[in-house]
Amino acid sequence: MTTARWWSQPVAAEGSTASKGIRRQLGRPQLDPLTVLIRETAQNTCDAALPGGGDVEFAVRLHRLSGNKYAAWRDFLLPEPEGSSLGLTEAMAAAPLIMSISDRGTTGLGGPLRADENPLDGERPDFVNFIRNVGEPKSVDLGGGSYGFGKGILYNVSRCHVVVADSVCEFRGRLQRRLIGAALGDGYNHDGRRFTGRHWLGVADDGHTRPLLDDEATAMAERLGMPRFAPGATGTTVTVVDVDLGRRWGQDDTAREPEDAADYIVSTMLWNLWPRMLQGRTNRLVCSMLRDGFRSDIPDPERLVELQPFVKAYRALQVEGNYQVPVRRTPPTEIGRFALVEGMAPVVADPLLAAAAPFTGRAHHCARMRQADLVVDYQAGDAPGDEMIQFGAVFRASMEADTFFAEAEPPTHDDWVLSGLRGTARGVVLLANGFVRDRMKERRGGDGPRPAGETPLAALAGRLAGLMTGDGDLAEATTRSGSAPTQGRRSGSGPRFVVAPELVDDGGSPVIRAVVALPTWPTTRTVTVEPVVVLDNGIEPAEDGAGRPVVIGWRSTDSDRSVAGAELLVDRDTDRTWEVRVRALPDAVVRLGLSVREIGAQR
Amino acid sequence: MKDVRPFFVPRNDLVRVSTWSRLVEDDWEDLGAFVENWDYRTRLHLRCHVACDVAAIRTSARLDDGSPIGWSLGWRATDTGLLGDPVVVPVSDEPQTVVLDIPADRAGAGLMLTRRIVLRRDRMSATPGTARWAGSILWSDETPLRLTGQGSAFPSEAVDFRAYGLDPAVSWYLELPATTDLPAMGSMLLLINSADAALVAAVTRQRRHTEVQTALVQAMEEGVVEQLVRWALVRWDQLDDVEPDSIGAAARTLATRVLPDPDGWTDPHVDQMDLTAAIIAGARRIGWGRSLA
Amino acid sequence: MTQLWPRLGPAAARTIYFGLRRRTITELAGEARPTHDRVTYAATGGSRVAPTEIAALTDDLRRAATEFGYPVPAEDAERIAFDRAAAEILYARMDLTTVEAAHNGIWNFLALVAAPDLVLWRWTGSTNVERWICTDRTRHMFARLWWQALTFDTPTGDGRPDHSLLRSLSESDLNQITERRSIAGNPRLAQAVARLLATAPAETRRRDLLRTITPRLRRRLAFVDFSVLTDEQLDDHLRVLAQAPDDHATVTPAWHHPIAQTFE
Repeated sequence: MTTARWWSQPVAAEGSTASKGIRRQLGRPQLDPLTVLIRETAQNTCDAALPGGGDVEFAVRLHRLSGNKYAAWRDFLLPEPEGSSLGLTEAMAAAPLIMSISDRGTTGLGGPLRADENPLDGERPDFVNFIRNVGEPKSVDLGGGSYGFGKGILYNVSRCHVVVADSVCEFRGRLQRRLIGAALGDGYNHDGRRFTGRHWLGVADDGHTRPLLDDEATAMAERLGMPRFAPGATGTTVTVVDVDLGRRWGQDDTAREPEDAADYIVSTMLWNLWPRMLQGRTNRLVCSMLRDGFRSDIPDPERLVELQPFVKAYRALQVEGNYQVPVRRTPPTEIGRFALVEGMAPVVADPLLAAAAPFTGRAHHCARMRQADLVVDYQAGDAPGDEMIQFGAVFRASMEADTFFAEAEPPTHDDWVLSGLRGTARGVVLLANGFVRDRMKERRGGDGPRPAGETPLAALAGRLAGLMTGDGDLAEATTRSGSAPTQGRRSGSGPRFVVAPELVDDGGSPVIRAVVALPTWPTTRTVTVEPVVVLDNGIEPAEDGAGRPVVIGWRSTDSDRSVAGAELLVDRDTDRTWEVRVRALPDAVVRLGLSVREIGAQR
Repeated sequence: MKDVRPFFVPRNDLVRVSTWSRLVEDDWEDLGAFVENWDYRTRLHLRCHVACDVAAIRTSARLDDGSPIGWSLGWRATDTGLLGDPVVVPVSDEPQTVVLDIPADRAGAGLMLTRRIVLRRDRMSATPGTARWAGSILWSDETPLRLTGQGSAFPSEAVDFRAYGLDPAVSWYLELPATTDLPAMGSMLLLINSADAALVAAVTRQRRHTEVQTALVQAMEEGVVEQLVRWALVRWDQLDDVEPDSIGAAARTLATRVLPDPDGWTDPHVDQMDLTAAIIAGARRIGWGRSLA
Repeated sequence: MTQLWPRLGPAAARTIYFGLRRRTITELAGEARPTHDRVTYAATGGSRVAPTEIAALTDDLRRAATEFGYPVPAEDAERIAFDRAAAEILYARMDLTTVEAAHNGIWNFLALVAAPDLVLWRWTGSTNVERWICTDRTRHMFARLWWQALTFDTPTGDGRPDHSLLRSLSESDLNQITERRSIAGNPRLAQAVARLLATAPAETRRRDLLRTITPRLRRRLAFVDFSVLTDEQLDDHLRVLAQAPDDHATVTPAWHHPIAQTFE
């Protein structure tokens, strides 16, 4: 049987990243370390999902070593690297807790074994990235973890900073099993040499440490009690040695018991991974939690009152018209989708969800996420006025804008931060943050109308109007008072009324009288009086109406010559001023028009 | 062109009417062709003086039988055709002052103010050429008045901040959207705390502000300009190509008017006090806020 | 308290209208929203209506529509019955000034954003874009109903409007009265016309009656200020109009003078 040994990385002459620095690249997250661990590993799992859209298993096991397994782990891990002060010896002195996180339906840690070997075309250097490189950009499209800093959390939750990875991948045409230990301790001096604090537990091979491979890996995994692989299956199990379960979250601050930790992990899976856990989606994440042989029940997020509004909002994003998109005209024009769903608040908090709830009380939050469908955070909005009501919203970055949001995420992927962003990324994230905030602010004031008074503010609005326009001047736009040109006005060349039509008494009966002046025309023409009935709005069409005004006739004021009827023939010799009379109607307003028609050339 | 009614009407010189005037604060001002800053909460309180020679009117209209005639002062909306309820008073030889209130809920974008002398009762034995029907218009004049137009106005509303969920100790709050391309008239709102009685009095007054009121309004103006300009600077590179009537366009225009070099202020690390000073100074130069001159 | 309703300009309205074509009533019901990005409001003068109030209005309208068959395409009679019910709901739920109600944008918003499903259901088979995009408030799906209620509602002692007059009118009565701005613009006159029609026993008789009085009334409107008349005077006036012989406007005997007499 091949024996695995620790190999410790010396500091290169040109310097190396200190491993403590890598562990700290996560910063000091606000999140509970177990939440960071679940989010990070679930993200890696999702990124590694096999093509085809099948379900992906994500299983967490927590148990205390005992018996043969304990012995096998001691044999495997000890002795610890000389001078390293990892604390592995102490950790293994008493039976430690180990946590293994395994995924199936995933690709496993494939690619070359050595960091200095180039991957072939289409080959993803997952093994090297996971085991060797830290902080390298991933090559998965729209993956959750844009940079590989996050795996530092695995070493962080191990009291001795030791993890063991056991993976089956397809490598250059065949399945290969790989098992390797890795440690990320503090830098130290030993035998007059400076070491980085990074260690690998494997088989010495050509100046580097390779994992146990295939049969030797399988044999070791069996001895260690690693979860098995079904024939032909690929995937990865990472085991955290001597796991630190942290302290009770928001409670008495005592150390977590394994039972508490299991509850907490289930809770945090639900809060952080629910979009990936929904029925019917591609690469659905099937989560499980096993503690010392006890399996925790992980309910369907859709059936939990606390998560329901979020799930409904998430589903609404897929239905045209059920979501909102912040308006943006320059690419990317659709930066993401937003939906908000109201529901009844739970009467009693579900203890399962309460364990790792990202907020207290009823929901008034927006779950923000990228294409990876892992919750980045829950942004709080204003709580609805009605205590019985909660709402859940979802904002999901669009495919075209995903990278801009990725840029805004800290290594823990739990926020979208503006500082450090420029240009389009800044604009996109600023818009999204503000849009979500505004949407959740609109609920302010509750369901009713605004508590407004009757204060007349038009004067203020007018005064400030200049702030909205280029010219700063309200004035003339409102003043256009159109005085329509008087209908029927003729130019100088036509006949015109010198005495406007009026009602006069003509031998005891009223008639309409007007006096018309005629111009001198070069041709013979007829001038016709055309009386029309004026209605409420316009004039009565000639064919309508029972009674029509009748023209009595023309009489020259110059010569007293009379012409009966509406039409007057006018030539050069005709008198120029004529009185016209029209019989009035008893119940109608009458308007007189004059029309001119040319008869022929002047004699 | 004059339309001829089916009855005799009085000569124009028998009727004398003044122009319309409008009560603004406590003064009667001549009514122009439009009412500045009219909105649905504006009280439109109008009046005019009318006088006529009643006997001569009756003679020239041939209404010597004592039929009641009266003034009818009213209006109709020129856009919807909706009529207002007129004020009706009997005619008198003495000059009369008639007051007309136009309720905002029954107004129009444009109004035609009407003054008429009308017959008040049907005359069943009317002789030919004399008015017969109640409501017959013996004399009338019309004055057009515009209430709304294309002029812009800054969206504002007075609300109770406590009930609204804003800090009740604050006097005003400018709501601005996250998005630059939304219409300005839909996405921006200046909220005035109705609990700040002094500010409410200052902003609702149209004329003759006290020194304190002027100071309050000017301080708010400076604050509003600052918020709009800062809003624009934060998103400056997105404002190059915004919709014409959008909030982004309005804020960008304002920022370029207020700051000589807005690009120089877009770095989030600029000194905040320097920026405030530059904005206030720029605002004052173009007429907003206090003037030290 | 006066409400300011969201307004949707004609350009945005057209864009949305074209986007809504070929949808089913159910699809449109699913897309109905109480808010839209492109809306504007009057700057001042009231309180912006809350989305919840808009949703409450459209919920009420849909509930009413359900009584008349919605979302299943309904007979004309049911759709017209819905109009009457919807007019009352709109008028009660929308606290509008007449200037606000004359703004086409608020009706565009209601028809295209808040309740497009109701428009499609009410106007199934119609291709008239005026039902959706408001250019004439006597034709738009919702504008016409609100204005009908304004024209025909009569105040009662307890402050609640009485809708019985509006309910008594047939579709053709309503159209003929409201399409005349000079008649509908004077609600008391329009109501007097409606009261007169109510005295006619049969639908055909009512149509004849309207045909008789409308042209006569239009002549009178050119020289009579009906706004100074009491309701009784209005009723009397209309009754006379209706009873006058068909040739009411021809020269009466007292006025008759032959031409020769005038020009001798």
